[in-house]
Amino acid sequence: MENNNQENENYESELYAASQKELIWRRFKKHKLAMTAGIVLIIMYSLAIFAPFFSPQDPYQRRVSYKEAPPHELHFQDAEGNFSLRPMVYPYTKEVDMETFEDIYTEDTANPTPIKFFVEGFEYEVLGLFETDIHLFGTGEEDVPVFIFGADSLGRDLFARIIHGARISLSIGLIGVAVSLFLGILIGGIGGYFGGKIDLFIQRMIELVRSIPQLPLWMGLSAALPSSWSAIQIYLAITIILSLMSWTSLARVVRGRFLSLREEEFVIAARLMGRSPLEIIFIHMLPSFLSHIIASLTLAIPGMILGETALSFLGIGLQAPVISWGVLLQKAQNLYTIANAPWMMLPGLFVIITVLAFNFLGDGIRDAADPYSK
Amino acid sequence: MSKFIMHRLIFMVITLVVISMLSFIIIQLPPGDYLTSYITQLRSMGTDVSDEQIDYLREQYGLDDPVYVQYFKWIGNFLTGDMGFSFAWNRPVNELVWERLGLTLVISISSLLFTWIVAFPIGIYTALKQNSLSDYFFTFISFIGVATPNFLLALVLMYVSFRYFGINVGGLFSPEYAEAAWSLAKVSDLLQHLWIPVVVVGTAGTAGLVRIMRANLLDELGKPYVTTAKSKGIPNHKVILKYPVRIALNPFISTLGWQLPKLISGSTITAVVLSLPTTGPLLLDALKSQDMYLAGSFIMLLSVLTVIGTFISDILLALVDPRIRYV
Amino acid sequence: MANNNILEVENLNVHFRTDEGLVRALNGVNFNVERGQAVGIVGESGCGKSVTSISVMRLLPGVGEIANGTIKYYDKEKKKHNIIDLEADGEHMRSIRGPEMSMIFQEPMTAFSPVHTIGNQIMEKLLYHEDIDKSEARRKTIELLNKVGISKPEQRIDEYPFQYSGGMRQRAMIAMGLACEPQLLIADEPTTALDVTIQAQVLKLIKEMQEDYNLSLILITHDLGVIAHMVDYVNVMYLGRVVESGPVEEIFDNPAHPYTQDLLKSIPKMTGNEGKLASIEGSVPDAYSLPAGCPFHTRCRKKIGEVCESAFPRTQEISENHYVNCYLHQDLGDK
Repeated sequence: MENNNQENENYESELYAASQKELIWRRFKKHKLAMTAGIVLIIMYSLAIFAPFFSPQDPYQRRVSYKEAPPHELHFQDAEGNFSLRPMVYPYTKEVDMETFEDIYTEDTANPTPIKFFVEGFEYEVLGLFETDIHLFGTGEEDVPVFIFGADSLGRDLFARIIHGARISLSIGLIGVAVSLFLGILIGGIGGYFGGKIDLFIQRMIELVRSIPQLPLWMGLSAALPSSWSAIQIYLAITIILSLMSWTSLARVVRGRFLSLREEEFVIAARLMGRSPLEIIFIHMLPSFLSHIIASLTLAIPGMILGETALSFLGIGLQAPVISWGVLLQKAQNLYTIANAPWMMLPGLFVIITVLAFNFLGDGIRDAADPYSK
Repeated sequence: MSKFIMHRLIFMVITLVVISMLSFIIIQLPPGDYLTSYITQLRSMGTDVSDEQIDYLREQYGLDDPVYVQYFKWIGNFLTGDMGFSFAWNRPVNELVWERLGLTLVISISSLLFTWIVAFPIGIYTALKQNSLSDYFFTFISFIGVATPNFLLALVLMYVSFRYFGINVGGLFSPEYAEAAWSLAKVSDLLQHLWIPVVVVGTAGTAGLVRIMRANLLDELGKPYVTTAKSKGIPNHKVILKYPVRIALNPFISTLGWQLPKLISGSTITAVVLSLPTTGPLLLDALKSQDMYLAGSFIMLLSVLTVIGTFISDILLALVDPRIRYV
Repeated sequence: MANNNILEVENLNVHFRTDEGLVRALNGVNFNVERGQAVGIVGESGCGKSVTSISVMRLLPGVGEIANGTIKYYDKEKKKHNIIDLEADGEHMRSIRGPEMSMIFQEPMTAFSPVHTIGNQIMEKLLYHEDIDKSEARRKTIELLNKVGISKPEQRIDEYPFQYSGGMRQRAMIAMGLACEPQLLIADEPTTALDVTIQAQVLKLIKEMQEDYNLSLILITHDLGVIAHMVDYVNVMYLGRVVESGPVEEIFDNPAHPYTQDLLKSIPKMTGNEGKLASIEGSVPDAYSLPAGCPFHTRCRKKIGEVCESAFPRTQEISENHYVNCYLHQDLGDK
């Protein structure tokens, strides 16, 4: 019995030692879907950050003889049936169908070209630190490109363009969310902390912003951006336009939490000790629902990504030569293109995967942060 | 209750004023005044514009007045139904907008009905069968539905129907009916084309509502009042429909108001892809060609719809939830 | 003794399947309720009092299942019903749940639907079980509300739960319980959520109603003070078992189980200066891994030795109708 008690105590003290963070992490690890989503996002962001390394071809390089070339098939067996572990591609030969004037690509099985890894290609900078020309994979031959996702109407490598586009599409969500986070915490926090008339005013303001139809306003504002602006200015402006509307949901979360926390003993204690409101908000209150904020943030990112995609798709957001998923999808707008080159819709697949992953991740974080919220 | 309605009414008016200012700012944003650029454009195309005409137009829009006077002129005209003049179409804006608003509403309301009819039973079903195979299936589908942008779904549908069925699903009418007067045959032609935009526009909303309904119902199912109701000997299905489902429905009602306008604006992109004769493509064209009176009035009109919708749903919510009514 | 029981619970075992494992909430609960008798079930939170009551009502949530045992109920015509064998949501069970036995819940605020009027929720029961029309149901409901001491019942019937005070809500809950004139009323901690001043009123009302309607009553509480005035017979539960049961005076005057003795010592007495209030050492063991033998041995001051860890002690009648499960009261030689 002594032993038993001893064990019980040990068990309890061990539980006590586990910090809030560890507990959340433990619960999060159990959430398989969220873990998978997290890994998918890490892969996505790595692809974006090291896009040139993962691209076998320069995303801007046009190849007239590869206009709308379909994705290359990777072969492990050559025409004679010899198996090789190293995948190879067959270069395309192009013919024009004299009746429909469509390009027909056929594989030239006589010239199998093996895929090489860590191969030399176009030059690029890594994180602005040093220059290199090593790429993860490629044929290593200038005139034999490998298009694993096919080529666009100007013969550019779609895969390279998608992962380069991810740089814009994935970062716009993060920056936009950071801006809305700032607005949301500031405005929602003020309302929830002070309560009373200030809170009422802020609540009305949130309601007001929410009752403005989002898409037309986005469209109106982004269409009004001066065409003389540089790509980076437009990018920043679009980000701000997107976050102008989305801070409200965050502000609501923050406000609700503040209202309930305001009455908690530890906040009252801090107030009695003469801490300033800002100190109380940032040192005492914020940490207690940080995980909630992270979850809300994660769930807000997809809206931003979808917003950018929609605006650019309509041609009033980012414009070529900037590459983003929306800009890429703009090319897939007409039936003619998607009937002839359905792979042009692939950027959409990336949008869906990313949005799904953020949703699952956000759900997982929320469940882990607050096991009782279910 | 009447006090509650008064409050909401006052708030509605304030919101509308703010939105009208925003819309006006959007009209004013492009550099220079659009009349000048419009006239330059006309002259470059060889059309003769007399100075008298220019002066008349300047006068009509008060382009020489201070900005706030211009705003009051614009909003005053808007209230009387005069939304200004589209320079690109050379027609009054309200003619253009009303022409297309009808079909836009048809699509949006059908999508809303579609959303409800599909989302409601699936939401209840998945909540009741929590963690079953069918729950996982529908949850997965609705996740994908939420994550897929409308226009992408439209593209995929277009591709599939063209590729495998050989039909072009764009537009709302077959060519022979597009310009024809309204007749029974035209209506049935419309119905045949309608389902694609309805499905496309409704899918994201449906998926979202399934998730909301499921989560709400799961919350409510665990509440003590459900056990109380069961303890009265009432059959489970009656209990579930009368109590938790009824309460889980409240958010549906409270979002009804902005569902519709959201669908209207959401259908914008779909309409562009499917080339539907609705307000969406018109707005996009107006924005692209900086036809700002058209664009601004259009944004204003959509906002008015949203705000009125929100007002209606506030009142509906108060009607179904006594806790709000009596506060 | 002629069988005058209304409820017989024998060897009731209830399990909950959770993500963390199987929780054995009840491990062989035995007790009877005689017709017209008020029976108390006492114990600390987590001992299975509430699970017992919702098992009798067959209202266990999806994760709970009755693994073993019998529950026999004798209706107004003294016909026997085997509650365990009935389908929880079946017609047979529903003809018992409501018209024959009903329940009063702990939280009167959340136990009523917030968006339906009190009247609607009471009338629903009458309309479902009795062959009457709406105006008749309404009349009966007003009568019931009047009976439980709600003023202006004609007006109050159309109000919502949030317009009632806590005590009034519990009165309305009692009115709902009495609708259809059941024979057995189960009150699960009916006063825990109420102010102390209101508690006495509500208890008094329950007692009055029990006498007026000649009800059998099961009162579930952790508060021994409540038990003393309300019931004839007491069952003391610990970790999913009844460890001692007896007439209320017996339990208070001659508690036999160390757990009951400790419980009694922890009630504050009005007699004045008795020094520190006693508490029971340690905490209730984890329900996922129940201790072997007598479940109380981990906290028991009078533990004999290994025998207490061997098996659950048998039931021993130590005086008339006073039963206890403890090795202290067993002749250890015969084991």
